[in-house]
Amino acid sequence: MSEQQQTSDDLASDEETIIAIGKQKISFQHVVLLLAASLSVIIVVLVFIFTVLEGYRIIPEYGFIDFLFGHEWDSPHEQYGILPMIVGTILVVLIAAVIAIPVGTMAAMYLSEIAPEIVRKIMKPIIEILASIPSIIYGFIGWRTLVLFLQNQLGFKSGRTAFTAGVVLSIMILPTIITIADDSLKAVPRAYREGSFALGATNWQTIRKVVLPASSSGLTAAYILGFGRAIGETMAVYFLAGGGKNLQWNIFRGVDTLTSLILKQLPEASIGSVEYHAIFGAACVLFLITFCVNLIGDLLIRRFSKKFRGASK
Amino acid sequence: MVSPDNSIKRDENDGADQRALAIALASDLSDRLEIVSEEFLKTEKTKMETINLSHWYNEKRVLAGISLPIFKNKVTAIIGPSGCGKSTFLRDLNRMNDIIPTARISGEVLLDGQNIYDNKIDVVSLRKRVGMVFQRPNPFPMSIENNVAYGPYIHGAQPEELAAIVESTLRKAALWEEVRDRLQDNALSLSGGQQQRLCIARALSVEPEVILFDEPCSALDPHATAKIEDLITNLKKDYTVVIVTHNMQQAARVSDYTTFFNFGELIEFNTTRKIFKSPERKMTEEYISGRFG
Ligand SMILES: Nc1ncnc2c1ncn2[C@@H]1O[C@H](COP(=O)(O)OP(=O)(O)O)[C@@H](O)[C@H]1O
Ligand SMILES: [Mg+2]
Repeated sequence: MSEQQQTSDDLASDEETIIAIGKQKISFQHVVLLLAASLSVIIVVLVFIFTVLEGYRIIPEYGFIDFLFGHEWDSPHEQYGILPMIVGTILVVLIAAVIAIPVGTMAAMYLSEIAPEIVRKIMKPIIEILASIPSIIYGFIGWRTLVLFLQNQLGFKSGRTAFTAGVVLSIMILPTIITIADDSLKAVPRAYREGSFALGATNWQTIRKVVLPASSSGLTAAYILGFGRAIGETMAVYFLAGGGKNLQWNIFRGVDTLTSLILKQLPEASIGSVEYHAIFGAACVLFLITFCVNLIGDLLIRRFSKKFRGASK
Repeated sequence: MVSPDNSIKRDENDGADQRALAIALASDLSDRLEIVSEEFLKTEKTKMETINLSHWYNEKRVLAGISLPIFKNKVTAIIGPSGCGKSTFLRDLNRMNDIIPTARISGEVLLDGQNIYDNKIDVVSLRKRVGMVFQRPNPFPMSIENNVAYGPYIHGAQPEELAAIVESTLRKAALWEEVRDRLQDNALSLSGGQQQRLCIARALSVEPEVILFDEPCSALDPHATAKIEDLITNLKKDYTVVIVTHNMQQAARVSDYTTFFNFGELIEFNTTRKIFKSPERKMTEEYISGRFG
């Protein structure tokens, strides 16, 4: 009896020391871990503040409307309109989307619905490797193949065009689109497919009419996160899109994008100049766009993963 | 002894009568019920039939030589402890197991005398003829209307026919009055019982001949269950029904014939009355009286 008492007393005191030690350790570890965790947040905030602090000045110095909707960026003549770059970005991303959305969706449909398990197990990691190839290599290969093809075979004066960059970008964003689209197709409960098969639907009818609509928000998220990647991509675009700082919509001409503008102009601009502020202003716009795109993508994914919670698999 | 004619009439009784029968069973008044001779079975029309049907998942055999007739315009209940192969058997009847790569069968499943595992059988039209309602309500995440229109649509119904099909089908599933004003609402906004009736409507929408129910009420409350049971009882006028259930009362209430499975074997098959009143096998009796399972 008393021994038992003893034991439980021991236990209690042991527990207290553990908690006490734990508390001490926690208070120390707490700070370290918190710092580590906060580091990325702090950096994001600092980058944001720095960019905005440098970028907002273009508004008083040059004018918001002239900056955002100016048709021309011409440093010698102190013209800093970024509309050509916004249009350039849109052109490149649209071309990438027009190719990557159907190809990516079909690839995901194949992987998720049709491929035998073994094929899927082999192909998925390979597709993920595509995502880890450095973008300069895409840029180089895009130049070696597409740019030279356009110039030598089709007689383009320059093969560096919005089209070229868009095509190569579409390959670069395929892994993102395929991976997320495949995940969202796979997340559609088996019960829906069985319900469709039980009505005499074919596999194809089931995919098109039941599985795709059921995963539409997940698919949209896949596309949007793909766009996010395309909008922020710099090296391949710098390498392949040529350049053009006047407003024009021809996809077979060179364009600059927001990213390639920044990459090209920043080394030339003297710190504190109007051009320097205009470049940071462009960075702010880029920041805002990619932030919104990623936010929408994440929200869609969250909504999608909630959708089937509780639905039978 | 009861003449066959008499028995047929009794088998066409409505749901309320079936429930009364169940109550009678429960209060142990069962000796008032007549024993039906097996001769009676021979007067039924056979809609489907399995002949020596065995089923494997990989090397594991889960059904062993099942031979069972399924009578036209009757409700056949399959009872048995969980894991005994009821769902597997049911899914063999419309080849739903085709989508499971590890599944393999031997034996025959006849539909109107034709083996549905025959090479020249088109699985799509087979499943149109033999529909299925699942354990958990699984309406598609689309509008109520589209859930019902989907089947006819994929089988080539014209767009202008669909509205009429939707209405008449929802009526057959006793759901029309409840949803007529909200056909465009998402089906997932319905209650569980309504969802299951929608799934029944969906199965009816392609005008099947046989409908398979796999524990259709196991996720539902008693009120919703009663509605589905009424519905099933009504359905046998036009359809042949097979229902898996682990609810003994439900089998007694809705079915005309009952078969008891255990360990993948068919232990006993007879009229529901006979199975519940005086089963021939001791194992059946033990299961029905709740001593295992
Ligand atoms: N897809 C499958 N793969 C392997 N084994 C399965 C599969 N489905 C069911 N089984 C097994 O087959 C047996 C019968 O299952 P099932 O037909 O679902 O029984 P019941 O419906 O009577 O509960 C069980 O032992 C179960 O574990
Ligand atoms: Mg089951």
